[in-house]
Amino acid sequence: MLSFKAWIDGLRQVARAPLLILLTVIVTVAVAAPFALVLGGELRAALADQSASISLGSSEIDADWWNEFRSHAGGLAATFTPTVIGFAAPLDNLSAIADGTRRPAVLIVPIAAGVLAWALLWGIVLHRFDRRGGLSISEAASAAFTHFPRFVVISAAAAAAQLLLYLTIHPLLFGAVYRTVASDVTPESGAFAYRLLFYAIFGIPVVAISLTAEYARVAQVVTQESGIAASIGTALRFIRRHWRTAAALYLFNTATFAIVMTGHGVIDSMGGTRVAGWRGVLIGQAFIVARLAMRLVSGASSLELFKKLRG
Amino acid sequence: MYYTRTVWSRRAQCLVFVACLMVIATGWMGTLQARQDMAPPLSTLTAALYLRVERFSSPVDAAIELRFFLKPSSNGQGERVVEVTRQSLRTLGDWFGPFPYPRLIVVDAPWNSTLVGASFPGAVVTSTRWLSLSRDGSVDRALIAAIAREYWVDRASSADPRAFDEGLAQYAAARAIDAVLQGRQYWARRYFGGFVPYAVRSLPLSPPRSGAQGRRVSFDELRASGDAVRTSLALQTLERYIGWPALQQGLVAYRARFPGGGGSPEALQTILDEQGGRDLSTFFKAAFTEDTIFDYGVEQASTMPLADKHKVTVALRRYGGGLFPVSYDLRFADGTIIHEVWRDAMPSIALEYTAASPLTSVQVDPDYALLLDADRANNFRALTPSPLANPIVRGLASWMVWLQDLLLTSSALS
Repeated sequence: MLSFKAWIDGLRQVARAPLLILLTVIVTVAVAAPFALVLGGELRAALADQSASISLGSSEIDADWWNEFRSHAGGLAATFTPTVIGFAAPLDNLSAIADGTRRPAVLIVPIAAGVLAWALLWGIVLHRFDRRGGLSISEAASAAFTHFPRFVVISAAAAAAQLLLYLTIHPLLFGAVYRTVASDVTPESGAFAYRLLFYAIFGIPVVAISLTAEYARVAQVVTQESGIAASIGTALRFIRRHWRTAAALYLFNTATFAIVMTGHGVIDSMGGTRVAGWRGVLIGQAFIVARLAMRLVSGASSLELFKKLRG
Repeated sequence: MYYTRTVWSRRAQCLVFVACLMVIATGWMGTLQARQDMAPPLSTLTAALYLRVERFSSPVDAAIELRFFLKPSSNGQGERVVEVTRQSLRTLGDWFGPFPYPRLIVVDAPWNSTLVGASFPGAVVTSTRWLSLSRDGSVDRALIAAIAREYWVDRASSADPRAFDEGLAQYAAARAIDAVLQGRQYWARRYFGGFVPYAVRSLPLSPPRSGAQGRRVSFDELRASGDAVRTSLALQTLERYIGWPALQQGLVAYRARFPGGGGSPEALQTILDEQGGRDLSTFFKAAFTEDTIFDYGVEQASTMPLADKHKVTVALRRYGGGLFPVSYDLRFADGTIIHEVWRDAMPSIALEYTAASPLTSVQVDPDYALLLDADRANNFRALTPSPLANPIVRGLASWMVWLQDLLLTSSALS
C-alpha cells in the first residue's frame, strides 16, 4: 500500500505543477527541433534532386516516393521512414528497445542531447517535489546546474551498464536460447509466449539499472550526499532492502504507461484516416506530453517513497 | 412448453453411424491422396493441416480444382487465402490466358517455414499468421507472387527457371498485386520479433484508381535475382512505351507459343513486331542486356535576366548507352510548362529559350516511363528553392514526435 500511496502522491504533485510539465515539453521540443531542422534541410536537398511533383500533389506522402527516398537517404534522413507516422512511432521505439534493434549511428547525437537535457531537468524536478512548492527561476537554475555533472555521470554509468546487457545477455537470450526453445515445430503463439517470457527476464536487470539510476538521483537531492558512488550505494541498499515496494511502484508507473500506450493505439487504429495528417501529429504530441507527465510522476513518487522508507 | 422427441429405430441409428464413418473415411482418404500427390517438401508441411477443396472456373479456365491445406487456427484468414487465390486466378487468367494445370494446391505453411512464398508446378506455399491485420497485405502478396510464377516459371517442371521467365513472373506479380489488393493493402511492419503487425492507414500501397500499372518500386515479396529484376523493369518500361493492350496481346501469344516456358526476349520481340507492325529491336537489345545502362539526366540548367526577358539554357545528357524516347519538362515561374520528347540518339541536347519568366525546374522523364533509368537522382534540377510540400512538412512533424518518443524511451533506461 505504501507504493500505491507514493504513486498517488506523485500524481497529485505533478497535477499541481503544470508549469513543470510545460518546462519538460519545451525542453523536449527544443532538443528535437534542431535535428528536425537538419532533416528538413536534407529533405529539401533531396527534393532538389528528386522531383517534388512526382507524387506529392496528393494529401499524403506516396509510399513509392518514400521507398525511393529511403533508397538514397543517409544520416538522419535514413530515419525518415513511414514508421514515424502515428502509433507506429512509439511501437517502433518500444520494439527496438525490446529487440535490441541497431539504430543508425547518427542517432547517438540526439539521444546524448536528450540525456543531457534530462540531467538538467532532474535537478529542477526533484528539488521542486522535495520542497513540495514552487521554485524561483534562480533557485531552479541553481538546482539544475548544481546536480548537472553528477546526474550526467549517473546517466552515463547507467547507459554503460545497459549497453553491456545489450551486448552480452540480450544476444544470448534472444539468439541461441530463444532458437533452442522456439524451434521450427513450435506454434507461432507458443513462440510469441516464449518471446514475452524472455522480454520479462531481460527486463529485470534493465529495470534494476534504471531504478538504481533513478534512486541515485533522488538520494543526491534528498540526502545531499557529495559523492556519486555514495548515492549509487545508497540507491542499491534502498532497492535491496525495499525491492518489493520499489518494484510495486515501478509496476504502477508501467501500468499507467501501458494504459496511455493502449489508448493511443486504439485511437490510431479505430480512427483510421480521420486521425491522420495534422490531427495525427497533434495526437502524437499529446501522447508525448502524457509520457512526460508520467515521467514526472515516476520521479515524484520515487522521491516520496525514498523519503518515507529511508527511516 | 412442449417438447418433441424423435425416436429413431436402432437400425436407422446404425445406418447413420456407418454413413458418418464413411464420410469421415472418404475425407481422410482424400486428404491422404492429396498429400501423396504433392512434392516431398510440401507433403511434410501438411501434416497438421486440414483440407478444403474448391472449384474455380472463369471464361478462360473451365474447371480448376483448388486444394487448400489450411491451419485449423487460421480462422478467417483461411477464407481470405481462398478469396485471394480465386481473384489472382481470375486476374491473371484474364490477362495471360488459362492456368497451366488442372489443379492448384495451396499450402498454409508454418509461420517460420523457409518455403513461404515458394511455388512448385501446380502448388504454392503461403503462411497465415497468428496475429494478423486485414490491412496488412504481406501474406496476400506472397501468395499472388507465387501464383503468378505458376503462369510463367513453373510451367516447365523439369527445366531450370530462366531469368527471363522469372522476370515475366515478377512483372505479372507486381501488376496482379496492385489489381487484386487495390485499396486493401497499406504500409505495414511487424514489431516485437516479427510477431505484432501494425499498418499505417494513411499510407496505402495500392490506392484506389491507381490502376494495375506495376509499381516504380518493387514489393518486398517480389525481390529476386538481378537478372529477373532487370527483366521486370524492362517489361514495365515496355508497357509504358507500347501500352498495356499491345503488350498483353503479345504476352498471351508468347505463352501460347512457349507452353513449356523457355522463351526469350527475342521471341517476345518477334511476336510484338508481328502484331504491331513495328521494329522494337533497338529497345529489346538494350533493355534486356544487363550491361547496357539507361541513364538520362539534367547536366546543366540556368536562367538569366535579359532586358525584360530571361535567357534560359538547359543541357540534357544521356549518360548511358541505352536509347529510349524520354520526355522532359521545363517549368517557368509564371506556370508555363514546356513538354517535349527527346527521341534522337544524340548523347546530349542543348536548349536555349528567351522566356517571359525565369526557369524554375527541369525534369527528365517526369512520367516515370523509363523505369530502367539507373540514376533517377540526376533527373531533376530545381533552380529556385521551393517550400517543402505540405505532406513532407507533416511527415517532418511526425518525425519530430517520433524523435521525442525515442529520446524519452532512451532516457528512461538511464
